[in-house]
Amino acid sequence: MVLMQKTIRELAPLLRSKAVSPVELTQECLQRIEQTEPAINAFITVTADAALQAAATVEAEILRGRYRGPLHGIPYSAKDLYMTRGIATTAGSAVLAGNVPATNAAVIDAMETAGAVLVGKNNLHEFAYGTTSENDRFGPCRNPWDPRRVTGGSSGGSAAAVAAGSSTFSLGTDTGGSIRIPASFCGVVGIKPTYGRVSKRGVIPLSWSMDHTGPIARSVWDAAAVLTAMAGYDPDDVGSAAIPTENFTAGLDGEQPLDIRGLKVGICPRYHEGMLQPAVDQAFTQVVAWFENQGAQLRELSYPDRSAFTVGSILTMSEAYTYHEQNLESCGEKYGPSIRYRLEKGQYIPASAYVNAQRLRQQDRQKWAEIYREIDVFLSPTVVMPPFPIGTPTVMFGQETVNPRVHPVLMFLTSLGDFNGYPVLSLPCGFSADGLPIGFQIQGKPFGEAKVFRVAYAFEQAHPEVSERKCGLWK
Amino acid sequence: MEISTLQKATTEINGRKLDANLEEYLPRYALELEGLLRAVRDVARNFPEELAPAAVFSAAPRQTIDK
Repeated sequence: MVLMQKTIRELAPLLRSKAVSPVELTQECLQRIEQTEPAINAFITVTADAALQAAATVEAEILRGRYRGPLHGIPYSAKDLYMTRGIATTAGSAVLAGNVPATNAAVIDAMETAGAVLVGKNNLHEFAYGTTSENDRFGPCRNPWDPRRVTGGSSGGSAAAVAAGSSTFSLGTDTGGSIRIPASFCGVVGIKPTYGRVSKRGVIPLSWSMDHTGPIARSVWDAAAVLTAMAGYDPDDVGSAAIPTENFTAGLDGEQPLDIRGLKVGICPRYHEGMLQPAVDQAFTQVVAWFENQGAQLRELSYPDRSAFTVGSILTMSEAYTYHEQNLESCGEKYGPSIRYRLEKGQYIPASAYVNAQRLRQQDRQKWAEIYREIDVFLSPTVVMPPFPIGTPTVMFGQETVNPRVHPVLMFLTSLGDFNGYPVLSLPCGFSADGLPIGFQIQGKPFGEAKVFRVAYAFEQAHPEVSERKCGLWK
Repeated sequence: MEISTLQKATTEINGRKLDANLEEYLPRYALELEGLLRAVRDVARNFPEELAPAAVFSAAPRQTIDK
């Protein structure tokens, strides 16, 4: 399993120079899936035959000298929320059993254009409405660092597959933190781009105004390469932004990592005071110290406050209920118990509460715009705790004991980015005493993903002891 | 919040049927929603009158993009 240990950045030149064949790489990926699935349950569907056929096609192209770019011949997977032509798309739910779309999500088409090879569809929290990825129908996603523990979610299978090397990268979605939470729990990199940066057409919605699509990958460079291929204006997506596409790897190639000196870095310890478990607190303190030692100018902010976390949930509750209303009425028994509980609650949100949540969102955006006149990036931990055992009935949230399946405890630090729509990347920054990964987030300005990648890359390059550590499944 | 209020909201406002599952959820919903809706009202009380809602499906406001 030599090839599947490599990143896209390492594989791309080998594929381009024909030193490695896409078919050989895809075969190894499929073997790796077979080897790791009993432990991690990261896939709902594996498309072995179609993948080998696609790999043969791209191999022929490369042999003819038609190399398309860094994703050409790279095997990848997608959260089973992305519609895939001729391939079952379940959203991890019995409600969509037998659903085989006739068309691809826009981003799946973009991956085809880039020459990437789809190897399967990843397990997830049912309909993406939860953060543990304990799926009632398909079984829980299991963390490659300790298969007794949750992966986080909702893109849990995506992050687990990337961490375990059964996928080189995966496509996730993020409505309250669903890319970044599992990225943090599984020790990989995930970015939720600016709202509107990437098309959501053909991705089963959870909350139209909060949903984002983005990549989960093994390194910052890899995430930048995948986002470059995903991004772009889509006139058929009502939320898409007419912003020119960029090559996000350009700022990472062939030069020294970004000089952090003078970078204006915002932090808000008041927001998470008393909420972080000690291992996370310690790891994040070290992150802040590193930035300071590199010459960054730290700005301690008094914003955000916790109103966006509390009130923002109104938007997802209302929109998710609206999308699922007819199915709840006609086949409610097909939903898993915890998601059904959460979905039905949305019917009781008054319109005035929804509109007031949108007013708060406007005020929140104004405040962030003011803040970003003084800072370049904003840092925070990604999740308040390391991954916990599957089935744990309750976890601590400050002084409260809460059920992580119905309480948004894991989204405490991530949902702010979905509410304001700004780009946020999570990358590994350390490990707990048990060897479980811990991540932190870098939030940039709207459509400022390039800067976010450069800052993240600088941190990653300076911490090889974290970024190059691999989970136990590699032994 | 009274459970009967939620029952009526389901049947009379939303045009849905009450089933055993939903009935079972209502006592917890009543508790959870009371706190949540109070939090929204408290936040909204401090809004300036002219504060309009964010556009629901538009991208975040564009600022200077730095590379």
